[in-house]
Amino acid sequence: MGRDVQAAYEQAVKEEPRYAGIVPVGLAWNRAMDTGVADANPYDGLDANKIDLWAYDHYHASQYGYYLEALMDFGKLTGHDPLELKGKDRVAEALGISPAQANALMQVAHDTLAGAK
Amino acid sequence: MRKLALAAALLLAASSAQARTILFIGNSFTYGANSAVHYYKADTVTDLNGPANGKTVGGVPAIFKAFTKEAGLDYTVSLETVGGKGLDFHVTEKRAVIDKPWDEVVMHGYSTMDQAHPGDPALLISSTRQISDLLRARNPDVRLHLLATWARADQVYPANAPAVWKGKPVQQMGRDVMAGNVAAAKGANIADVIPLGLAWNRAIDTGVAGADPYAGVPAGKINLWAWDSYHASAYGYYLEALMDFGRVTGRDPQSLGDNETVADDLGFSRPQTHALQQIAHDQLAAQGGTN
Repeated sequence: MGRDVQAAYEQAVKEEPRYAGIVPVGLAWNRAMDTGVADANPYDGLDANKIDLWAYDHYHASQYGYYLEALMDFGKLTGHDPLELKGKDRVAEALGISPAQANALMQVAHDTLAGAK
Repeated sequence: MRKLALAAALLLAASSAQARTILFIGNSFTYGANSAVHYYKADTVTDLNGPANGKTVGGVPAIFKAFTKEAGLDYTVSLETVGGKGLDFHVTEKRAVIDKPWDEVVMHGYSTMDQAHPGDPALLISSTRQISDLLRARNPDVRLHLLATWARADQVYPANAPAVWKGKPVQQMGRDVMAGNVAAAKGANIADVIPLGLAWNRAIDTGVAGADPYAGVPAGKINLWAWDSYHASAYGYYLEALMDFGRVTGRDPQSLGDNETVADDLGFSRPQTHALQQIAHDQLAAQGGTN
C-alpha cells in the first residue's frame, strides 16, 4: 500500500511539474518495518523491542509514526539530514520516545531520503 | 455596571477562597518521566522547583487537575518532585519549599522503598513519620495520602536485576511496596494509602495490561510501563492520576467517563480509557475508604 501510494504521488508530480517533490513517508514506514525497527502487524500484538507506528485504530499514526512523518518533512523541506537532530531533539523525550528509538527513526528517515534521491 | 463588576470580583474571590490546596511530593513517578505526561499541561499546576532546561513539569498532578476541573471541583495544585529521591530527601533538602499549610498532600517514596537496600521499608517508615510531622505542624488538619507505587518490570525479568524481586511473579513487588506503605502509614498515623501498585497488579491479572514488557505487548493489551520497563507509560500515569483522584476527592474514577479529555489528548482509545477507569474503580472499592 505504501508503494502504491508513492507511485500515485510520483505520477501526480509528473503531471503537475510545479510541485517541488514528494516526501516519501510511506516508504519510510516500509523501511522501518523491513529493518525491524517497527512491527509489521499490530493485530497480533507488538514484538519485543519494536515500535508500533500505528495508533490504537491501526489506521492513524502513533506518536512514533507522526514523529517519523515530521523527520521526513524536516529532511525534505530544509535539506538538513534528520540525523543532525541526534542528541539535540527534545520532542522525542516530550512524547515518551526513548533516545534509541528516536535515533532509529532518524536513521530510517535518513536512509529513505538518501535512497529516494 | 460597576455593581456587576464588583459582584463578579466578589464571586471570584469566594471561589478561589474555596479552592483546596494540594501538594504532590515525589520523584519521576509523579512527574511522569519517559512519557508524554511529563510536560503535559504544565501551565495548570505550580512546579515548586521551578523550570529545568527552560521547562516546568505537568506530570500526574496536571492530569489530577484536569480531572477535578472536569468534575466541577476546585483544587490549586502544586508539586515538588526530584528524580530518584525518596521522602528522606524531600524532608531534609526541600523543607523550605514544602513547609506550608496544605489542605491535601499526596506523597510517595523511592520505587524500591530504599535505593541502597531494596525492599527494606525502614527508611520509608522513618521518613514518612518525619515528613508527616513537618506538614502537620503547619496544618494539623492536613489530609495525608501515601501513594504505594508499582512493580518495576526491570527489577523482575532482566538477568542483571537485583536479587530481591528477580524471577518472582511481577505482582510481588507491588504487594511488598504496598505492605511497606501500610506500615509507614500506621507509624505516622496516616489514614490513607493509595493502592496504585495493587491497581497495577489488577490490570495485569484481569488481562487489561501485559505482564512482561520484555516479551513484547500481547494483542489488545496495554503496556503500563515506559520503554525502560521501569517508569510508567502514559497509561500507567493515567491510572496513577485516576487513583489519586478517587482517593483525594472521593469521586468514582468512572464518573469521568470513557470520553474523558486527558485520555483523548494522550491517544487512548475509549475502550482503553474505560478499562483503566474500571480498574481504578474496582481497586478503590476492594479497599473500602482507606486501608
